[in-house]
Amino acid sequence: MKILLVEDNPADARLVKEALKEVRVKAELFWAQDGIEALDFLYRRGAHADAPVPDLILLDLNLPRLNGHEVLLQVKQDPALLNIPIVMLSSSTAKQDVRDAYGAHANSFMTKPADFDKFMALVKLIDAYWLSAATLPTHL
Amino acid sequence: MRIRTKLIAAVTIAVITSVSAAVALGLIAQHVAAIDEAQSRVRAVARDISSLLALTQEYALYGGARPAQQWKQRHTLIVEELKPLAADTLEIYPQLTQLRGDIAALPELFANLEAASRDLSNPLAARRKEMLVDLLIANAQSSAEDAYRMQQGGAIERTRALQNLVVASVLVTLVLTAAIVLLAWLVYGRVMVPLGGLQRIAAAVRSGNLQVRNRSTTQDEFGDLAREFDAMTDSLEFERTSLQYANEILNELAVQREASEKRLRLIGDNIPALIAYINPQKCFEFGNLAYEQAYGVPHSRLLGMGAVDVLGPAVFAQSRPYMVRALGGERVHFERTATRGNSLRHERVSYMPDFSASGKVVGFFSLAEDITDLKHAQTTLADSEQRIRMLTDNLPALISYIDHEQRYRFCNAFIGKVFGLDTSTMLGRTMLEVRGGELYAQIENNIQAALRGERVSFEGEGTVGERAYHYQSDYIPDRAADGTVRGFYAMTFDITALKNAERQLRTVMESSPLGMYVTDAAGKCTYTNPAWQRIAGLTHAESLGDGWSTTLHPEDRERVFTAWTAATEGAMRFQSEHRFLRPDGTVVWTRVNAADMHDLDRVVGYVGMVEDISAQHDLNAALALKADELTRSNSELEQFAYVASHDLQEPLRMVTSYTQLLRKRYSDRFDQDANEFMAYVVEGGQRMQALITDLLDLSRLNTTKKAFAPVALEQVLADSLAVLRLRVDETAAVITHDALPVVPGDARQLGQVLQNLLGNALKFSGPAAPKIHLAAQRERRYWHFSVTDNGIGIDARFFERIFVIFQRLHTRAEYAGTGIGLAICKKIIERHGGRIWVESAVGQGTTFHFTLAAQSATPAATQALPALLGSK
Repeated sequence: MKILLVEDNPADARLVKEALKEVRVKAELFWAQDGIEALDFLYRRGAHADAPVPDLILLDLNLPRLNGHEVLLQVKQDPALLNIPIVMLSSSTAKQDVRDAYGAHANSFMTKPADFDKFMALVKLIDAYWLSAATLPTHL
Repeated sequence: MRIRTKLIAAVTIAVITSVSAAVALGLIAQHVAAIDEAQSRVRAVARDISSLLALTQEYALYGGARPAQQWKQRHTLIVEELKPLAADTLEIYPQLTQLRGDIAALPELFANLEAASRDLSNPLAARRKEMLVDLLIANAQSSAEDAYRMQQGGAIERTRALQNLVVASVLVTLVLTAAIVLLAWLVYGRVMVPLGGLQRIAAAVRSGNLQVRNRSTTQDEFGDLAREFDAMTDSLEFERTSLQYANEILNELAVQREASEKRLRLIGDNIPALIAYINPQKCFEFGNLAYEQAYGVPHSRLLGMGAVDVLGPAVFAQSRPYMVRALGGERVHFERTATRGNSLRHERVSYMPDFSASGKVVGFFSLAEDITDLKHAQTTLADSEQRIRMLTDNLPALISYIDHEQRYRFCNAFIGKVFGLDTSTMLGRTMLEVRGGELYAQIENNIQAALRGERVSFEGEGTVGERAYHYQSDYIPDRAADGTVRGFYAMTFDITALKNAERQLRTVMESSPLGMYVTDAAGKCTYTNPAWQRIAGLTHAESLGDGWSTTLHPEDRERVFTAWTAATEGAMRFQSEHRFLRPDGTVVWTRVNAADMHDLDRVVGYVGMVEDISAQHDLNAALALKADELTRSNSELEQFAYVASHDLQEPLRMVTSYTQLLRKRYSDRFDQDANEFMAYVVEGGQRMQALITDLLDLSRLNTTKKAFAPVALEQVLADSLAVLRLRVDETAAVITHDALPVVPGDARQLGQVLQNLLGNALKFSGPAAPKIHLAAQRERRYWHFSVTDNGIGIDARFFERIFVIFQRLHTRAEYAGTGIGLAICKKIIERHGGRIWVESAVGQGTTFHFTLAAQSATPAATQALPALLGSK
């Protein structure tokens, strides 16, 4: 299992990584620090020329250069990429953000909890659903 | 042309015409007769010729003497017959000459025939005889044809002659008819018409109208007659006019005489007095009609009656002594009374003796006047004077009459009190004496003017002891019938109170900080007070008339003029806010209120108040600016709070999460202090998280305004209880509620209010299980809700404080919370136009009250404040 995490804050990225570790998810985590890098990864450009196709993308909203929403729009318009599930992972609870995300065909929208225990529970759910229960197109 | 001439001419023409007609007719008749005669001859000739023809044939056949004899006789007859036909008939019978020739030729032929007949043996003779017979017969036949043609021509000629006769007869008849018509016209126009006119005029004259005239211009007999008639009428009229004039003079004289007599009688009868002539025997020799009215004696019987009978015994008894004196030659006057019906009459009587030439008294004239009314009038006058005095004595004015010598002739009792005068001693004294030299000097001009006949009115002041008084006097001249001024009426009013009021008013106006002005009915300024002059920056003189308008700000001038003109023309109140641009260039905002002054129903002017509202105006402008700033800063603040709290969450999450991770992985490597510290870090982070969440909620109250819709509070309550279910179950709370209404509002926010209040009631419960009641009651335009619990209660000192953000009454160890819930409730309730407050005592439980509008507030009301501020 390969997960692409798009997150500018290293602490947050690490937290995701730690949470995955805590809940013992057997997945390979790739990390892109902003929207441009995320697209480079997906299109295997530059340093990411030999990047794999991720099974799941965890996408933050507030990103430098190209924000999460723009990345979402671009991916979901590309027939080669649109079948990769994208889970929006944001600290925002704003309704508009939620609506916009689903409007652009995000596969789900999750709010990062402040409490680490709750965060771990959330990661566990992601694992249970997307990585275990669901059959993903990359596995076909 | 004269009628005679015309008649002669007409008759002559008629006679000539008739004779000519008769002659013409006669000639024609004669002609016809001649033709008839000729025709009969021609017919006889024709017959004889036929006979001749027959005889010729007879002779030719049989011979013999008799036919020859007869032939010859017949031929002679024909010749005889033709003789009378003279040459003048050749016109009618053109064949006559031919016929005569033929006839004349016959005997010779017949003689030849006879000769031939005698010698018949000769064949030649027989032949000759036949030839002669043929010739004779041919001749005779030719003659017969001529005769026949002549007969025909004669008939035609006769017919023509008869036609001529008919034409002539018709012509004669027409000419005669025309002559008759002409004659009739002449007779009508020249005779009948003038005759009729003359007859009418004559009839008019006969009935007395002498004004009518013929005025004929015709130069014939009737014209002459009409002119003669006119001349006759002229002289007749002249005579009659003279006669009338003489009659009129006579009538006038008679009328004058009659009028004169009638006047004398009238005078005598209509003099309101009894006039009589009484002789020494005390009998009436004359008495006017008045006696009939006064003493009931018929006028016709008065003469010769004794005075005692006329006057009655009572009156006679009073009069008798004076009669005696009058008859003694004395002229006497006396008064007597007479009872007439129910009234007592007074009479004033004069007897004047009548002396004869010898100096002897032959009677006396009696003149008696009824003076009852005079007596009554005197009484009435006295009453009237009494009334006038009563009235004047009680008028709040000094009323007096001063004669031309300036002496008081009348004055009412008022004087004494106010002006320090003693009325009882004033009458007969002069004004100078009464009023004293100083006061007299002040009013002398007015007195002189009044005595010259002018009406004067003036004001003045004086003192009585310590007290000063103001008065107003009116002098009204009194003129005699001849126009001379006999004196004057003086009316003096005490106007001290009026003057004081006026002074007070003036003082008020002079010292008022409010600008004031007064205008006349046309809106022209007549007064401005110092405050006005200060506000406008004009002097009093500059402000008068239309001067006040010069200081109007040019931008406001037209608006103010329009409003002011409308107000003065419509007699309405005037209200305006406008600027003055003072001469020194400064601008001042003013508010003007002007009211119309009425005298009965007529506008006599306006009084205006002018307020300097520059400060207020500036304040309003500043306030509007502040309101704008506030709105902007509020919205910035909300935006800020939202963004800030949002962004605050990010690092907070890091702190909390990593501390938790740290504790999770490394707690066994830290000592107890370090673990405790980490616990504080996590707790602090969580609290801050709660604060941020609540702050977000608070700021969202304003950023996410939804339009109000009907909210069913029953449903909202149910939703809130569902959220609180866990805590309700944990605390075993009993929650009851009244029936809840539907109100306009934001369902989510109202849900939050209920949730917060119920949550508080659950949270701050005492040792006992919570009992909570939500009450709802309609109060006029509001619903009044209350949430009552049996919890720990709140000290009255904190009633205000609990609604302030972040204010807490308890340590976190006792009760968790951010201190923001009630602040949110307050804000929501106020957003809904309601109010929230608390009633509580420590240990006694708490009741939170709040109100909500029962119906939607109108948009105008919610917009009112900013609109008001924005417009200034």
